Amino acid sequence: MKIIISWICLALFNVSIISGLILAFIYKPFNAYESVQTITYLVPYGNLFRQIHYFSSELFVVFLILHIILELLKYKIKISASSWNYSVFATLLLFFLMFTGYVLKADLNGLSAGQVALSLIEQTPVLEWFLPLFEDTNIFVWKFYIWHILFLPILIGFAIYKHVDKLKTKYFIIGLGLTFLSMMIFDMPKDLDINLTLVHVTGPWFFRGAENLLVEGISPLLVDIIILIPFMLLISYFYLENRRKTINYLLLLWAALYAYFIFI
Amino acid sequence: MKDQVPIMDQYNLKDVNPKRRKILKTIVKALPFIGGASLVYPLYEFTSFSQSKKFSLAIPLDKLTSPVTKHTKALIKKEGEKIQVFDSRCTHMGCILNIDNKNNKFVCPCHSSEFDLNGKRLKGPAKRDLDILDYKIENEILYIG
Repeated sequence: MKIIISWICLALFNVSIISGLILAFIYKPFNAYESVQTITYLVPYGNLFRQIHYFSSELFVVFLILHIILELLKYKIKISASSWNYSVFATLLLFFLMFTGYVLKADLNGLSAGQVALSLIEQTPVLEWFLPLFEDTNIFVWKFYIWHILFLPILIGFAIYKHVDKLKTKYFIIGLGLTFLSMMIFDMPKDLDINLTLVHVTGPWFFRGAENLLVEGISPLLVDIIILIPFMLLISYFYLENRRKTINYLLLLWAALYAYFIFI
Repeated sequence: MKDQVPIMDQYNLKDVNPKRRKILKTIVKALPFIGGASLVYPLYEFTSFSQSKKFSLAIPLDKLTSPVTKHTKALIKKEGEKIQVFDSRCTHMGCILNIDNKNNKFVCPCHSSEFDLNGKRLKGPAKRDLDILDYKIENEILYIG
């Protein structure tokens, strides 16, 4: 079961990458919102490819979390330290990839989330040095775009390759099937025009916990640390063999608290 | 042919200093890293390049029909002849503020900070008042920035 879930994970990642490459033919970062609307409403099958990209990415996260949970419950690790570290690194980057994708839709929610992320980086010591890697004064989404289509897929692909060591293409069709199934069950969130006035705008679902922590007046540095806690725990899981149960409880506690702040 | 000396014997191997050879090997191995590291600062400077964040807006005064006008870059408050211009970004995380006409305040749609129409902070998480922008009026046109 565990092995199938991990291969479905990889298949969904591949579906997401391929659909993303297709979208890249039409998407233009200098005219981001308009090009997203063009893809959705004008380009033949544009909405189909956009939905495939969206749902395969969301499902990838769901299956990845499931894969991690099943792995953690075993208390035994069969892979090497480097393979484990690469997988944690890939997971961290995956959320970053999802976030940049959310910004790239360039609607009111996307641009606000991007602005909050830039402010979070700007107001965090040390991290502030890296602000120029994300901020562009001319085209807001430009550097998010570069990360999303180039650096992050390459880095994550490399980390996944180091983690799995081989590819199984037969699961691709299952990944695609699950994507279509979720397209039939769920609706993709609507894009909100930048000129609208909304009482409340939100970031992607996994970032809402961090946003609500910011609402509570928690400092950006502390919010960054809270976001990084599960990744630090996952790294230590490999090395602290006798403390794995404790780490699992800590992860569960973190997940419960973060979920509380997502739904607060 | 008998006088021919094997090629290795032509060198006096006693002269070879293993320590020096080890140092040379280390230097050769380190060269790519030194080369890579020497590019870190230029790379940082390259990616840090950005054009000025300053902007300028020109709005005809007759367009300012309501007491408070929202623009993506500025919030303009007009009371008779008196004009005040605030940065439209929240001082907490930079989200573009909304105008709450009913309660006469600016509200952040991201984290619910509130400011009065004079830019004073009413409610957090923002910790300071809104930034005031410079402006001038020439030929009935408001120039901001």
